[in-house]
Amino acid sequence: MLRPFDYYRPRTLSEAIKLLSETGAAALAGGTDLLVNIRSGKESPQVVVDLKDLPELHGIHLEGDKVWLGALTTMGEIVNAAAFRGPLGILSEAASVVGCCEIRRRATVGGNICNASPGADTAPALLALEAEAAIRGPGGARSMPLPAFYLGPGRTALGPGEILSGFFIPRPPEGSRGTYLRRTRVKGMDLAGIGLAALVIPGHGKRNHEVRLALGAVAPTPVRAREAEILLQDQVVDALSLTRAKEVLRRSISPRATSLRASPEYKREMAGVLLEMALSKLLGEEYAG
Amino acid sequence: MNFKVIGTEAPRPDGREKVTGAAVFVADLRMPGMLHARVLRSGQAHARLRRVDVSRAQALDGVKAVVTGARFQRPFGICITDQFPLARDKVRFAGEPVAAVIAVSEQVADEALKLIEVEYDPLPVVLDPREAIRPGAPLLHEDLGSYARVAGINPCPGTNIFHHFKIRRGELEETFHRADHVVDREYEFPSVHHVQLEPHGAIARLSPGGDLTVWSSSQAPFVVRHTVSRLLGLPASKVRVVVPYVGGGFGGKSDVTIEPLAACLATAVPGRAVRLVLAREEMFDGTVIGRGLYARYRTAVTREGRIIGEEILLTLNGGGYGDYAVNIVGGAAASATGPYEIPNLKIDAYGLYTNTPPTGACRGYGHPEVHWACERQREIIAREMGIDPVEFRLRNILGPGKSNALGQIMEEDHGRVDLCIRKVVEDLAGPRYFAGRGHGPGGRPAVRRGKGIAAFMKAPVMPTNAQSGAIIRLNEDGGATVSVGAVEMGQGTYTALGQIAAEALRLPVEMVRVVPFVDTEVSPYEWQTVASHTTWAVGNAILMAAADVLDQLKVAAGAAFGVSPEELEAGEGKIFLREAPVVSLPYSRLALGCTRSDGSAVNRPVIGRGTFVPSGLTYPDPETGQGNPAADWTFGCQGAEVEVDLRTGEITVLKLVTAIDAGRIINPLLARGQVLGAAAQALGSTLFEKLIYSEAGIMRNRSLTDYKIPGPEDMPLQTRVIFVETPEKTGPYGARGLGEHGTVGVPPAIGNALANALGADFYALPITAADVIRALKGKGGGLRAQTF
Ligand SMILES: Cc1cc2nc3c(=O)[nH]c(=O)nc-3n(C[C@H](O)[C@H](O)[C@H](O)COP(=O)(O)OP(=O)(O)OC[C@H]3O[C@@H](n4cnc5c(N)ncnc54)[C@H](O)[C@@H]3O)c2cc1C
Repeated sequence: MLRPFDYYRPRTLSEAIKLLSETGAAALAGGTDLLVNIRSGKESPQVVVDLKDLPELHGIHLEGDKVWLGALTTMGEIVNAAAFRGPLGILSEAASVVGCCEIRRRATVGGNICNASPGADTAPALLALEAEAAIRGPGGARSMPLPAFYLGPGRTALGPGEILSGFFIPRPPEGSRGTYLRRTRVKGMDLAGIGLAALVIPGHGKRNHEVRLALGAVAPTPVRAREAEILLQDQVVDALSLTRAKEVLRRSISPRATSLRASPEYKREMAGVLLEMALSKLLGEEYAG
Repeated sequence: MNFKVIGTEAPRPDGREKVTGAAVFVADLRMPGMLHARVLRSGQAHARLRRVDVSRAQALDGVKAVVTGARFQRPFGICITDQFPLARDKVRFAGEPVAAVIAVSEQVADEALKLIEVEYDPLPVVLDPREAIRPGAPLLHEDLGSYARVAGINPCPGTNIFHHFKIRRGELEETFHRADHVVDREYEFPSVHHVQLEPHGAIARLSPGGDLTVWSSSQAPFVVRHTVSRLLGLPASKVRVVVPYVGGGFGGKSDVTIEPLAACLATAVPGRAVRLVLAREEMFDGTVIGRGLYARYRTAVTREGRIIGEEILLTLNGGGYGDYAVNIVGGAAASATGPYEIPNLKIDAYGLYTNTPPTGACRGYGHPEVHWACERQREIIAREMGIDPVEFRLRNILGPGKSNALGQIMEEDHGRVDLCIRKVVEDLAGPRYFAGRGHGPGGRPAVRRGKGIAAFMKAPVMPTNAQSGAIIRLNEDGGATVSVGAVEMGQGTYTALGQIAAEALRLPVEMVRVVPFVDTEVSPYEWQTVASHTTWAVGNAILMAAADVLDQLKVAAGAAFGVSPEELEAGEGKIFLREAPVVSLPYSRLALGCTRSDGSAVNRPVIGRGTFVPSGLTYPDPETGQGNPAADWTFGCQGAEVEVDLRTGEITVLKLVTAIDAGRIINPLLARGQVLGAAAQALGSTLFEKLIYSEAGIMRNRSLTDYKIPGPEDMPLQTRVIFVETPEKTGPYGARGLGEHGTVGVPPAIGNALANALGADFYALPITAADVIRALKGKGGGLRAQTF
């Protein structure tokens, strides 16, 4: 049962910010999290502010050496966008596994991040790409790196009246490649039991300049796996470095004991397995691992 | 026989309506002045109800009535009268209705629920039937001994056992003495939910004249009528139950679920219709769940690979109330051996009260549960004895002249399980695959493949006097309207029954309409639409009704032609003279009163009547279980090929094959759909499905976010259904039941395929990727897994 609420669809950012500054107001993008939460009683806003008419929150384009990704971009649009092939393809790979066809037509990347689920599928990809969150609010515009945006499960750095307008994503060097792998209980629609994004930035010869790793559903927020990254930085990935990285990765995560999607034991095991699978996909089966 | 309609893929009359969304289900109905009910469910799994205070809820604007268990003192129950529409002194599962609000809208009712105050005295909780059977376990029903019950139910007062069913054949101890090999294993089939697409719904109205109508999503309108009339003390004729299309039942809408409550609520607001439609989450803990069986098998085998004896212990989780789980106990025991002849048997099947939602019928009704155990056991025995598992099965197979666990002697027309096994093995290709460890396909070292089979048998589990009726009215255009008491819940029963009627009436299938709803006030009686028995039982009633129609037509035509009815034949919508077929009258002339040239009437309207009850069924003997309670058996075999990713443990079912001897197939398209749909559902219970409870007994995955069922992506790319058609002598045109059977062999077929692929035995369902990883790391143990 949906509880009644007032619905606004402002045309300007300032109007939206004003409406959202009131207590009991919630922003609406695709609604695929918000409406589920209203129905279950987890949230009961008196005012719902639909953001879809705000031009500032739309669009994908280049701004200098960064790609601007509007918060209202849907998963479907990301999957089809030319910008998210090649070095940034990791994001479209992540967007392509969200929900099902119908959900991907509505679900937005901004909603996915603002909902702040530890298992949000686009989060590890955006973390690995070192995206910056752009925020508009009563105090004007500000931005911050994604890790700072996440405060905890379901909690973000957004203050009253603040709106996530989108992301600035620095373009990784040409030749960089990324992938997003996850484990689910069924092959059909499911939420991630664990997700891993890996981005490889090539260096000289077989040496990688950088390997960025981020995980979902293994900690209270999506997380970068810096410790494991360091073991692979400026290295040739071989059996030894991989084994050590897998070990560190397994130890670095803190999965919830009560998850219905995957046990901590399985998540730990899969953190290593997904890392190995991701690297063999990105570096070819012939890497020494 | 040369059939015109039987065996054709006649299109579904309800197809367009359902595909376009025009079809009407209970939740779509609106009655004038209709009110809405919402239920307050217990948040405790086992507790005494100390206080239920509804005063604040009652005061809320828009609330018409708030009712609690205090209002309704009569218990009900299909086999044991052990429950109340609303909890009275005690709650026995989390989700049990404690109070209900009737209001002008669902929203107001929801608000009012929050104002109801309930105080509980918590009691110890027992969730596992193996613990519930132990002396000293928390007792759910202190008054079990005094409950009214139907014949053949054997409760043990002072314990949680609401039914103990026994099978005793031959001499067990001596048999195990002379056995060359004994295999002893335990298996688990957890509780699952049916996840019907349509939520349970009921609208009830008590008219000012004192009669009650219930519109319901039930598979069992006549059981609802019976239960409600007894509960409210109304004559059956004053209770009308109407069932439009049902959006999936799978047993979970059989007998009664929310209807007694809806009917009671209607009495609180006489004259007003009360609508109760469950939310998805409530379907999980507010109706019946399925399965939930632990099985221990101890098998005695000779060197030659003959099973000479078996001792089987079945403990079924019945949940808070006995409900229809009572009969699953007997049904599971009767088929616990699988399709094999085993001369010496000791089977004990117990139904246990526990603090979970009650267990009800669930597609397969005890058979998938025991076949998970027995067909894994057969595979393990064969492997341990070094006998090819196919050969081992065939050496012990049930067939004509051999007797099953109940002592019924199998006959030729019961069908060919041996042939089904051979067909599946042939289709899976390469019997060698069954022996030894699986191998990865070329160049993919990280995967393993394996194949496995499971043979099965199933009988309808039903009362010995399950009744069916059919009425055929001939219309003025020569077509027929067929009324039955069976429910269309997606299985296509009105299509198949229409085909049987058309064939029998010698009419094109388009000229026959099966009334697409059940209304107990006008539809002929039907026990209920369960047990895969509708095509068989209602089909038989239709044959009789059609014969009655043809007799009436021949008498009428005989009078018109001045010949005796014996000289006449029916064909292509006409009655004609056998010797001179040009002398004929179309049904259209005869249907509603043929007249002679002077205008005088020849006949009365043609209304055919058919009724059916299975003949010769008896209660099993209470001490030995021997008897004739199973009307017919359907045999089959299923096979699976699986692929396992050794890194992630991910299981992919590549292929599922079913061969089933379902007698004559009335509609091959629908029959395949039924078998495949059942197999898909069973694939879900094999790999994903299990209801998970907290220690306190709260269901943790009561939503589709965390109760995962297979989607199209999970279905094997290759599926095959092979029909072996040994005609059933008691069935219409030789047909047998097949709606549930596709569920029965899938779990063990996949389990056996996994054992062959991985060299690991899994004993508990569902088998998840995490289980595979644990097994591969040698961390199995318990029921989860064991490597060999
Ligand atoms: C059936 C189903 C399947 C799903 N499968 C997946 C899956 O596989 N993977 C996955 O990650 N998720 C999944 N989800 C969750 C959901 O679809 C995603 O999180 C989605 O991206 C949310 O986006 P939205 O636009 O619908 O957000 P909304 O529901 O509109 O909003 C979500 C939250 O963010 C806030 N919000 C939204 N946009 C902004 C903004 N620009 N500024 C400030 N606050 C904002 C809202 O107030 C709300 O609290 C699934 C959901 C459903 C119903």
